[in-house]
This record gives sequence, C-alpha cells and structure tokens, in this order.
Amino acid sequence: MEFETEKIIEAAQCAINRAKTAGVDGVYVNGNLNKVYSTRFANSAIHQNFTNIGNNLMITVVNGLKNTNVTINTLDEAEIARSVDYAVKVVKLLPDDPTFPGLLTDKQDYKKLNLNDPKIKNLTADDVADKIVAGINTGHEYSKKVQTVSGNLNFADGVSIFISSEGLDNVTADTSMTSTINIMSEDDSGESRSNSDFGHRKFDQLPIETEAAAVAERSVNGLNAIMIDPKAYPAVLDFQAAATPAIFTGFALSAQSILDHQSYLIDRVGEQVFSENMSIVNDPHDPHFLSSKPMDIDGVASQKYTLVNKGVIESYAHNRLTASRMGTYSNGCSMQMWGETFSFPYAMKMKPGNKTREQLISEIDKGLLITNFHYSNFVDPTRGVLTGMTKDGLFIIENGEIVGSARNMRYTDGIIDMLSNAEFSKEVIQAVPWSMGMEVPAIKIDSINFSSGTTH
Amino acid sequence: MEEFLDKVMNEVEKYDVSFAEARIYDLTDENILVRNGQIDRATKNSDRGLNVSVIKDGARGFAMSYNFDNIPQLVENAVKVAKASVKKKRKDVELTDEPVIVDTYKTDFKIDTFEVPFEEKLELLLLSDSIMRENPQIKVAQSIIDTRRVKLHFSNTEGTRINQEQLYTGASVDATAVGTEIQKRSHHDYQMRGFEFVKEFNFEIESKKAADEALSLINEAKNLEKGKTTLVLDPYMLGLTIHESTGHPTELDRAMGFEADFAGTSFLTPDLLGKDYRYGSDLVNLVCDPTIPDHLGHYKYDDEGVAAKRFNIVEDGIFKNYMNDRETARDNGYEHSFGNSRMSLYDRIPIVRMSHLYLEPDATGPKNFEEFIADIPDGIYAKGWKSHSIDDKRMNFQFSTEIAWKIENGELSTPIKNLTYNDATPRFWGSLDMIGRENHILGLGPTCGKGVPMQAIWISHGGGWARFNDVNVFSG
Repeated sequence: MEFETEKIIEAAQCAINRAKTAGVDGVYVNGNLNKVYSTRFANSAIHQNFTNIGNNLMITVVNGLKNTNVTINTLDEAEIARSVDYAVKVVKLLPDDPTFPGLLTDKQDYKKLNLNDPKIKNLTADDVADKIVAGINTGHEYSKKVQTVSGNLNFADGVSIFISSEGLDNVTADTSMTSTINIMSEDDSGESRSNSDFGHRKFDQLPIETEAAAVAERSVNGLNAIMIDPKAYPAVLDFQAAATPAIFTGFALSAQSILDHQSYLIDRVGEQVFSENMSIVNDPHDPHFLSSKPMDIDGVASQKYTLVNKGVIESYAHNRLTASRMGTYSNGCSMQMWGETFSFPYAMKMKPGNKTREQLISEIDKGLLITNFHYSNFVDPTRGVLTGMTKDGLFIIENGEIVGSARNMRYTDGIIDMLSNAEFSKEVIQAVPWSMGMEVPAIKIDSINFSSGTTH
Repeated sequence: MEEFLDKVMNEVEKYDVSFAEARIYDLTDENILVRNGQIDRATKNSDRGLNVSVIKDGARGFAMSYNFDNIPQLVENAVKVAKASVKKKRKDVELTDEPVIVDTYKTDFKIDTFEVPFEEKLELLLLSDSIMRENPQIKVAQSIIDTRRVKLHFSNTEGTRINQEQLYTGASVDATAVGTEIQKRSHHDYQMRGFEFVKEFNFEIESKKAADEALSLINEAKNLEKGKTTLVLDPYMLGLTIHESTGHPTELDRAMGFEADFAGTSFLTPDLLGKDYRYGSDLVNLVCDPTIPDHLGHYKYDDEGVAAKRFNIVEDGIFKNYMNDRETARDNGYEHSFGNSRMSLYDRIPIVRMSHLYLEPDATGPKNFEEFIADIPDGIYAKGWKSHSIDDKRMNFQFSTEIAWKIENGELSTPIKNLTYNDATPRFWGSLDMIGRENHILGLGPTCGKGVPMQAIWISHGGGWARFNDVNVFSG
C-alpha cells in the first residue's frame, strides 16, 4: 500500500502532545488510514469504479467531567494543532457533566487479532474487475432467463489506531470486503429478482461466483409469481431476511436507545422476552467476522458477552457514558453512528439451532419462505413494531415444500411477536446488514403479519 | 485550491483520455447537542480531499485522496481504474454537451454561524432544554444546532472552472414524553443561511410546542380505527411523501437500474418518458428547482459543472422529466443535463440526486390553514415524520406521523397518536384535490441516503397543505 502506518501514529502523537501542553486532563485519538477499491455494476456492466486513499483522526479532549472531539482527515501538523486548540477552547467552556466517566486509565487487554489479508498488498483495480466479471458471467451462465447482474464490491485495507495520553495504545491492520449480487430474470410471466449481501476478509476467498450462482437460481425460481392475500402467515426467514429483526433487536439492546426511551426492551433485563431457542452473543474476537476488532472508540477492550440467553435479556450494549449513566460497566460497544457516539452490539451472533433450514421449511404446512426484506423501519421503536417490504424472492410453502413464488408484500408486525416462538437453523451465514458483520441462522416463525401487497 | 486542479488538468494531458474532471470537496461542520441538560455532543469535523475522474477507452475511472501532494499518482490511479472498467463496460460513456462556465459563487447569509460565539449557541440550547423539561413527564429533551460549510472547486478538460461556497445552518428540538406509553415530538429545519435562521427558528417557541404536543400525545391522544379517510398533510409530511414517492423514482440512474444493488429500481421506467404517463391528478405539479437561494437544496452548479435549472418532474399530473446527469441525460435523448449530479464527500462519485423538490402551491387555493380545513366535514390532519418505508420500485409506501388531529366540521378536534397511512404512489397522487396557496419549504438535514458507499445528502421539500382522498389509515 502507498502509505505508512508510522505517519498516522506520529500525527496522533502530535495531537496528544499539543493537548497536553494546553493544560487539559487528557486526550485520546482514534485514527484510520486505508486504501479502498469500490466498484458498482448494473445491467451486467461496471458503471461506477473508484479507488481512494483516505484517513481520519478523531481527537477527543477530556478536562474534568467533560469532553469534546474534533475529526480531521489530514496528517498536517499545523492543522492538527489548530484543531486541538479549538477542542481545548471548547472543552474549557463546557459545564461539568456529573455523569461523565472521566478519562479511561485502567489497563486494557487488547486482543491480538489477525484481521488483515497479507496476500493483497499488490491488489489492483484489474484484480477487482476480474472478480466482478467472473460473478457477472456466472450469473448469466446459469440460465438464459437471467437478464441483468448488478452488485458491488467494496474493498478496504489499512490500519486502525487508538492512542491515549494515559499510555493506552493499539494498532490493528484490517482488511475487509463487502459485496452484493442482485440478479434479474425475466420470461413471459414478468421479471423476478434475487439478492445476496456477503463479505470476507480474504480477497481470494470472497465467494462472488458461488453467490452469483445461488442468486441466479433463486431469481429464476422466483418467476411466475402470483398475488396472494396480505394477512398473517407462518414463515421461514431465510438467512438474509433473518438479519432484519436481528439488527433492529440490536438497536433495542443499545443502552443509548434505553436511555433515550426509544427501545422496546426498557427495564427488561432478566425477563423472558423471546423464544427460549433464541440466544445472541456479541463476539468481536472471531478473526473471520467482519465486525471483529480489539477495542471500541472509547479505547475499551472489546468483549465477548451474552445479550440474550435462551430468550432472556441478559445485557445491554454499553459504552463508557451509557454505563456511567446506568451505574454499570462498559462492555466495549462504543462506535460512531450518524455522527454521534452510540452504543451498539456491533458483533452479534445468533446461536444456531438443531434443525437444518430444509427441515424448518418442511415443518410448515402453508406459509412463506422470505428471502429478503427491503426498507424496514420501526413504526414504533418503543413497542418494537416494524414495517418493511419483502424483496428479491418470496416463496410459497405448501405441505413443507416450496411450490411457487408470490408477489411482494408489506409486513407490519412486532419483533417480539415474531420471535416469541422462533426456531433457528443449524446453518449460519455472515450477513452484512449496514456493512456490519452479523452471524444469523434461518428463522422459522409462527406468524408474520402482512398489511398490504404489490403487483411486483 | 485551484492550483491543484490546474495540476490535475496538466497531468491528464500525459494520458490519452477523452475527458477528465477534478473536484476538491472541502467540508467543515460543527454540531452541538444538549440532551437532558448535558452537552452530549460538541464536535467539529473537517474533511477535505481531491477527486479525479477520467474517461479512457470509453470507460470512466475515479481516484480520490486526502493527500494533495502526489497528483501524478492520483491521475495514474484514475486511468488504471478506467482501464479496469473497460473489461465490462455497457457501452462507451458519452456526455451531453454543456456550456463552458467560469464562475465563483457563494451562498448568501447575514451572520456566519461559525463566527457566533460557542457560548451563545450553548445558552440557546440549554434554555430550550430547560423549557422542554419543565414537565417531569418529559424524560428526554434534545436540542441541536448544526453548522456546515462546503467549499467546492471544479475543473474539467472542456475549460469549465467553478468555485462555490455554501453555508448551511440547522436547528432541531425533540421531546420524549413517558406515561403509560412513550411518545416523541420533534421539530427541525435546516436552511442554506447563517445564524439569522436560528434566531427565526426560535428555540423558545419550538421547544415549548414540542413538549406540549408530546404531553398531549401521552395524555389525550387516541388511536385510530383502521379505515379510509380524507388526509391533509402538513408541508413536512408532504415533503417526506414527495421525497420517497416522487423524488427517488424519478432519478434517472435509478430508473435505468443503476441502484438495483442497493435501493432498488423504479416503477417509472425510461420507456414512460414522453408517453404522457398519468402520475397524479391535474393539480399535481412537482418541481425540481435548486436555483432558489436559502433553501437547503440550493446550488448554482452541480458537481459536473452544469448550471442548476428549474424543471417540472410532473406537470398537471403528467410525468414529464427525470432528474439526470450528463451521462444518463445523453443516454435518454436529453440535449442537456438538468444539473442534478451531486456528491456528498470528496471520496464519493457524483450521482443523480434530489435537491429542492416541492409541490407547487395552487394560486387559487385556500389562503391559510383555517380556510384550508374549513370545508372538510370529516378527515385527519397529519404532521411530523415518525417512520417511513417504501418498496423497491417506489410504489407501495407506508408512513407514520408523530401527531395528527381529527378534522370535524372544518376544525381540528381530538389529537391522534400512531397514525400510519399506506397507499400506492399513482393512486395516492391521483387522489389529490386541494393544495394551499402558501408555500412552506423545509430542509431535511442529511436524511437522504443513496449509493454504495452510502452518500447522505441535504435536500429541501414541501409545498402547500395538501388534501388526499380515500387514504388507508390505521394506528401503527
């Protein structure tokens, strides 16, 4: 790669030295430097293609019971100095926050994680294009009914750092790739789409051709879709679809959502809320997992811990501030989201069950296999009511077998109702909702309520 | 900054490229958030970089960097990426012919929000916070001032050279009331102006209103029986509805399938262009106009150096035009681009985006809100965004509002909570039968997401109050 880790470490150190001389209690710096290849394709051709060398330094200045941060994307010493001076000036103007936990001084046990792909040092735009061409060709080779292959491949390789005035430091090399394949098939009955979002840390193992073949098959199988009544159906949420209730459960488990009164899981720790088959851990130490990292942005060592155990809520996801406000300890879940420091269980793994996905399907007399959801949102986060559309494959199950496909419908239903009697497949995949790694099985649910339909 | 663009233009001459552009995107923003009496966010962010694009052998390649010191390498990277794109190109990239422009433009403001003392902003936010939390049933109060300055420098091999500078200012309050249930009311607006906008926003009035309405939601409001109703949308909910059901399906790149991997496609496929497709009732005139100063979606030139223009997307209920850029316009028979190409940061590719898109008021319509509802015997007035969802072709939508009121015999009566409305886009717009005379435009902070990697962009929407008939409603 065309950059040096030392430069960003020096820049961070420069910020720390500047803040120290300005007489504040302490300072810490989160930084990253990376090279990106990002390619989008549509209508079976590449249409957006770029490479970027980017960096980012977030400098947090702490003084008494208050803090502020500045974010810059330069390694220029003069600009770093100006930014630190601004932060120092602002932090001195702020009133004390008695709930602020102060500087992190405890020694941290940062796990050494092998998160990078050493083989991609000389990766080129040609290599990325070749991979995409292979995916596009695989999609078309599956069937003449395949009309267009679309998708994207986003590759990033670089380094993340955390350095504090209190002597905490960590440098982690990191490679990650996320990709999407979306295939449209068409025949006399109309068109059908299917989709897969996936990711990997090793470029040569990114399964773009395998996924393209599977997506092409689902897309062709989705042809001849019929309209069915929007009402409640038993269903199997296939792997990609399962990530939707999972990620919205993640938001509800955020201690920040609890404090904001924007969660359906307020005051429910210790309570049986979901099916006893449902367990979720936050596991940021699995090197294959795209969400893995040794620390959060507060500098707290990442931790493996249980969020939901056999349907019982065991913990919320905390950063240092939410933990202080709720009288507990941070479990290392501080991250930047929507420009704000937020607590989120960013490395969720749902525990697999004992039955195969096919067995779960076979147990449904009359119901649906839902491949994917689109544009899901809380209707009311305080009651856990979600709405969204099915997308990219809605299949009809009769007597335990898939007998055809259906046109898309809108669901409006509560997450707790959906997952209260759920069963989980023994197979899991790494889904990448919102570009975050999440391990999910397929989920069989007793009922999902559809409130309206569409003609496609 | 222009010297860097000149260096790029000189460097591309070494390569056999048919076209090249270079952009510098220089962003500074400041965000202050007071939550329950504490300063939960006091941040400043700057993000600056160089973005180069070339067309080589009929394919386009982009290269970006935060580092301005190695322009030869950056240009070489862009050429390499373009060559890689040749391996699977749809056809040769062709662009509309556009006039060469040399200009410098700065948006207007009275008070530079960045120059207002931090203490003054903090005082306003703390006052707002204390007003909202006067009643103990308000458990969460948030007040925000956002400021953003963007400097854009653009150059291309056709000779266009543009410098633009924009100042955005935003203000926001929200109050969460907790009783036997939880309800939230918020009000926010963003404009391309200075601190004078924050003074007009009036935190004292808006925070009191947000708290009062949140309390009314938990103490007085009723749920609604499922059914069909006459629905009156306030300009903010109207704006959201326009955004999702008009804006996104009329982005030409999306209609051509270029967003299939993420946000979906469009029911308004390119073959419908020029076919007098009926999108809504005769009253529906939906206009894209980034030329109007002060509104959040304002710019003089887009990120391809094309002058912004006013044009109808829907005229008298008929679908007329897509938003486009130089490439998609050329592919679909437009002589010129409408100038809708925008990027959200230096490390993003400019794509077709919304800007300022609104429902044109009816010059003969009711003069004010009282007159607007005076003849409605039975209906619902809905206000404030709570939740939104729409299908991948932008046909089936479902939106929820923070608050609503029953309209009975021409007057507002009982407050309604959890109002959700659901419809299909052409049916909904076909049911529009009354629009107010006043034009109320609101800025949506960075709430429009599109593209991979994600690009969050700032836009404005609205219009007059609007009445729709036989709309499916229920308590969500």
